[in-house]
Amino acid sequence: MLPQFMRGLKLRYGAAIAAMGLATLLGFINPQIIRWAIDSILAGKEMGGPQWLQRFASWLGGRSVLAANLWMVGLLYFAVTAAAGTLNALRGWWASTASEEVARRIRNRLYDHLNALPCAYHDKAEIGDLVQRCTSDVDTVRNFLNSQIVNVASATLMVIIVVPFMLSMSVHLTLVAMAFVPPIFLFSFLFFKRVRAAFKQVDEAEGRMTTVLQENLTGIRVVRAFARSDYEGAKFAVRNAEFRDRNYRMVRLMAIFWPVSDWLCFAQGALVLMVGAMGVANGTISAGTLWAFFSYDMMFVFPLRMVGRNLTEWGKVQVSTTRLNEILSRLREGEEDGQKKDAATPREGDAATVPFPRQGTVPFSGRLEKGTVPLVDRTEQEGQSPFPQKAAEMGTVPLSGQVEFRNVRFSYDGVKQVLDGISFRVEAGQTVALLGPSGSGKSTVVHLLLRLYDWQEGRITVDGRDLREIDRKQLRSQIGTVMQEPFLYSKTLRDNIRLGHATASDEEVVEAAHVAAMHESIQRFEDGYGTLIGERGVTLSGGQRQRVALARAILRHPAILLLDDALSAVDTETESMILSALKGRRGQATTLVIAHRLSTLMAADQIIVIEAGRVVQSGTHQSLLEQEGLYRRLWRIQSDLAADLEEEVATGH
Amino acid sequence: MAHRWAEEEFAGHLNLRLWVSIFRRARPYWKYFFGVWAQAIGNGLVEAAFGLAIWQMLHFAMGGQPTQAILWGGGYLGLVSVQSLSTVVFILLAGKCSTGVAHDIRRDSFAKLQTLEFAFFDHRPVGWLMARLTSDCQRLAGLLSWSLPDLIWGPTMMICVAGAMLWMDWRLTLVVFAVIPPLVVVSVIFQRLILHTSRQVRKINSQLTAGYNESIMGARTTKTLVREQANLAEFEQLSGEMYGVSIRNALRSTIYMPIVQAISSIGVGLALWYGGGRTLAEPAGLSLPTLLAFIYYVERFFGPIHETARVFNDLLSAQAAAERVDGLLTTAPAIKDSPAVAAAIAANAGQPTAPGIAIDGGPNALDHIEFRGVNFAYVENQPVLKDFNLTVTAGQTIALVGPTGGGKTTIISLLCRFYEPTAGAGKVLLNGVDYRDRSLLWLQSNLGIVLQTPHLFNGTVRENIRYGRLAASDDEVVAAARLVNAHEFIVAMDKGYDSEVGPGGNKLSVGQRQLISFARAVLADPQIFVMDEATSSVDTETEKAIQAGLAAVLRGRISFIVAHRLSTIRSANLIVVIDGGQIIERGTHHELIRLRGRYYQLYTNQFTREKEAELLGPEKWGSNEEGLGVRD
Repeated sequence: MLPQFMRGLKLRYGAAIAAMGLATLLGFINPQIIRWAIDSILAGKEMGGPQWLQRFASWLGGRSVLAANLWMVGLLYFAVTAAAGTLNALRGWWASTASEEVARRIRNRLYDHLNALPCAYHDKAEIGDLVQRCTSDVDTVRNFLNSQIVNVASATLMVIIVVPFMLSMSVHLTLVAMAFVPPIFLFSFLFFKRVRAAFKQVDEAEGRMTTVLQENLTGIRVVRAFARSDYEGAKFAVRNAEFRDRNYRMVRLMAIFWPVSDWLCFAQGALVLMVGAMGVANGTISAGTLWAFFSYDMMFVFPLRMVGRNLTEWGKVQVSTTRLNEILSRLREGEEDGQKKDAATPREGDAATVPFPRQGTVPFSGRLEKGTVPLVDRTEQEGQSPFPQKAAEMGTVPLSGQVEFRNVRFSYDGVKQVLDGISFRVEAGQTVALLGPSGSGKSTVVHLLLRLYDWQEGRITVDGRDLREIDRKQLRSQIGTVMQEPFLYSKTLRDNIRLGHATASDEEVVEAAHVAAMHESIQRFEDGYGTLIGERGVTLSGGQRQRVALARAILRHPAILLLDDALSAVDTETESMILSALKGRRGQATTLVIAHRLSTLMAADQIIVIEAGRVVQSGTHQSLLEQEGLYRRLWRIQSDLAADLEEEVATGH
Repeated sequence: MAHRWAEEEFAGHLNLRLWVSIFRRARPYWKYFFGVWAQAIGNGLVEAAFGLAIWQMLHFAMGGQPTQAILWGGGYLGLVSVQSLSTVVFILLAGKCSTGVAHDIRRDSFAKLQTLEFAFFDHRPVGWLMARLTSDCQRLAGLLSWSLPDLIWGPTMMICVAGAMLWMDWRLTLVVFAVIPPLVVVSVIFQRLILHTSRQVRKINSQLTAGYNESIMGARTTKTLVREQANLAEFEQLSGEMYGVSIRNALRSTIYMPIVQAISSIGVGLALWYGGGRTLAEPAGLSLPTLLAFIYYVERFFGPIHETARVFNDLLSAQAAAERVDGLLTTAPAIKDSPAVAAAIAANAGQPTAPGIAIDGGPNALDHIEFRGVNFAYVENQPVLKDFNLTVTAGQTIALVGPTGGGKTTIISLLCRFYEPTAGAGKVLLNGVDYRDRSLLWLQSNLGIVLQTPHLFNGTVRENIRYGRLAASDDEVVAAARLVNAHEFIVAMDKGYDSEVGPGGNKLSVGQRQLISFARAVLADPQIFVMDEATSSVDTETEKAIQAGLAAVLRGRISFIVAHRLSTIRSANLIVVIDGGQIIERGTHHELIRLRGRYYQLYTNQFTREKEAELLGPEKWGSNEEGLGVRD
């Protein structure tokens, strides 16, 4: 998945690797300088080493001048280190800006994608898990791109460059050094496998321990109420000890792995030194050469030690990218239309809803949850609507708000039929109340009207137009919705209300709050409309949240207002205040109200009684009172109460 | 929830007292710690000795003595082996320390949490507490065991290397030592700078996390408001800030190493210039092997300095974690046995308690409970109960009704001594004795509580019921379940009493959870029975069945019931209407109906609600606002 996110950054990565290659090459010069200083200048032997170094030395003035001005050699050593350091810093800078850029792209893309995924996805998703993927998994990828890629490239370059260098100095010593490479590799690999298994065990033990801990803390009131502290302590002790012991088993593995792999690496160095020392004593090799060779050997061994770690990191990044891809390969809202078209009833305007061609899109099969479409770069279609023609045609044509459901059938899971051929019609500007037992499908009507889900059969129209032909965003921007448990953002109250209509003035915000009977409550807060709510601010009660959401919906002057049990946590008095204020604005919006309270229902122009996904009764308050049914039974509770009280008082002593 | 993503607060200076206090907790592992420190010293010595071995080897090799040279090369190999072996020991010992210390801090924290009063948990979300016992513990134990030894290893190695160099050639040593001050200064400055930006990175990271959290929780609302683009724009600003801070952080780490290496190379340069000059002038005074050994050392100076600076910064950044863990471990429970009670319990311990006598030597039987002039406030100056008076005798059932926030649940919490009355403002008397003079464990072992949000533990149905009395037989468990009418649905489950309830009981409906927690309380056979909205979520049929068994459950006990189901309330001996922290009406159901006061009002509302619920199905949770329950 990574290449698409790295688009345009290849140059920077290339530059980073080039800088590193140059730095590595420079790094090879320093041992040569010391070798040359020791052998040629100080020991007075004949100048050995690479041709270019010899030429450079004679350009500086030859041995005699250098011997008299040894500071030049020291300065050279410093200059080479400083140059290599500068290149290394550049490499780090380029690599980190590039990988941070990739991380930023992935983060933005994830955020965008999560917002665009259909409700059906969010219904099933676990928040904690998703958040973790968006944070830690992205971090793992970023880390890998920043350090591991460059490290591995560096190790490879090192080996490619260092081996010829070493061979040129001593074939003999090179063979000694190389003899250790296969066992080090093999050992790292075998260990990596065992450590991975041990890691898994530690993880599992930690999981069990945290579960006990979490259980205890969430149930601490029960624990205390039954005085079970000792029992809980014993339970925790088992898991705590298990976690400790498995952790220690891991430590024991490490206690073998690190020292043995270090020993292999350094014993190899020791062997090189010993063989080399013999050569020095025999005169077959100079002390400076041995020194340089030893320095190279250490440079070469260092990345070898890291093989095990690189393998672990590589395993981690694979897991992370898979987890991220699981999110990003899900189809966005609107993208499933191509598939739906075949399944659902034929309808007009299909041409407009054919998914636009898109590079890299793989035809998918089966349900959208199983989508395996690989990541595609979305930059070229950003901001574009999936229905380009229709959207343009729609423009900002306002809806008048006439709504019709005709034989609509819908199921969330394909098993339980929630709407079973529901039909009703709401005229523009009407207030219609939906009434029915819980689970009868009232909220589902609201969800479908918002196109949060797509229905399987039947037809929904707004102003006589098929809902599926209207661009989702166009549709939603003309509907005001208040849910039973509304979600508010951690912003100020003013900003939350203004989400309904971004360009609304402060006066309009206050006016909307007035209608929602929230203005006075807001004024009671110390910071008034500037009060921050949510995690970092004040906590609102259920009724206050509902009223803020209502103000937010009103502010948008929607063609259709959907109140899904929206005032359930508001007391009756306030509710009737709100309803009469809304009525004062009637004519502006078609209002669909779901409520339990008769006082809310009776004022509606039309009351629709829904049971098991069908309309069983509809009419006005008066006409429904005249027929047997749910509405009349509800209405009769009042007279039952009077009878009950009479009885209570009569039988009392 | 509120603090879930809150960023850490940071310390500026090293708080030694705190670290000593943390270290005290590691005392049982002192042997291992000494071993680790000894190894750190040994390792410093060995690393210094490497240079000497190379020095001698070169010396003999250049002098044409292969045998001695090989011997010294073998010495080098020996040092490598010694070092590897000592690393084995170090990892084993430090691992023992880190896993053990983490285990002990977790154990102690857990035990401490079991003794702390409810108020402590009111302000600390579960996630926050979990983090203390998991990541904070691991981090502290790791720091003490793995990082701190570097503070010993670093200076040891520096001193040994300096000693070896001075011994080889003191004049050259003084020259190359010129690079040490800049090395130290650069290391300290850069570690500080990096610490600073990495804190900023973490802070913005927690904001990013909060951003994702909000976007996922509010996905539906975002869609209905068509806020996708606007939200993304806000998020992009945040991720842009993250990018800026991260690359600033990366830049600092990136240039630190090259600078340090350049400074070290000046040391090598100085050795070449000054040492080389002396070798040329007087070959006997400063030999080539000595010069090479110096170069070897200078190239390795930087390691210990860097590590020491790093460990200091680790200590600084872990200080907040240390404070929280230490704070938790030193928190004294606000509600605990008084010294006199503790002494009485200690005196009675070990002796078989006489029948009818509690562990604190007081009588075991509870005849009456009295609230006398009780005042209480969760937050100072916001009283919840004002001069509350109530007397209950054994066998009585008291129903507490009134709006939420009126003080019903507070009365229950005070009764159970989860909280205590405001000091000096009233008391709760058990058989006429202030309950502060009785044992907390005794009182709470005599409680049977069923809460509105019933918490079940992950495990089987049987285990959950048995939590009420661990020694209960299987038959007794079944009997308790039968009494509350839970038996039928339990045996209908796929594994009956051995069915798993899932984490928090999430495989069961709320009503089923309430029934199981009801059975659990019944099994405890308590003297005081408390039901706080205990049957709010069971269906009407089950509710009726429970009513039938309830009389048997409550017989002979003192019972407090907070409820809004009319059937439950009606059966109480005494109904107490509470609002604003005071009793506003009290009497039997009939008396209060006749009164046509507040209870009458609540009753008529509730009547309508219950009938509506029969027609429309159970209401969703948290939406009941005006009956006898919650109000806005």
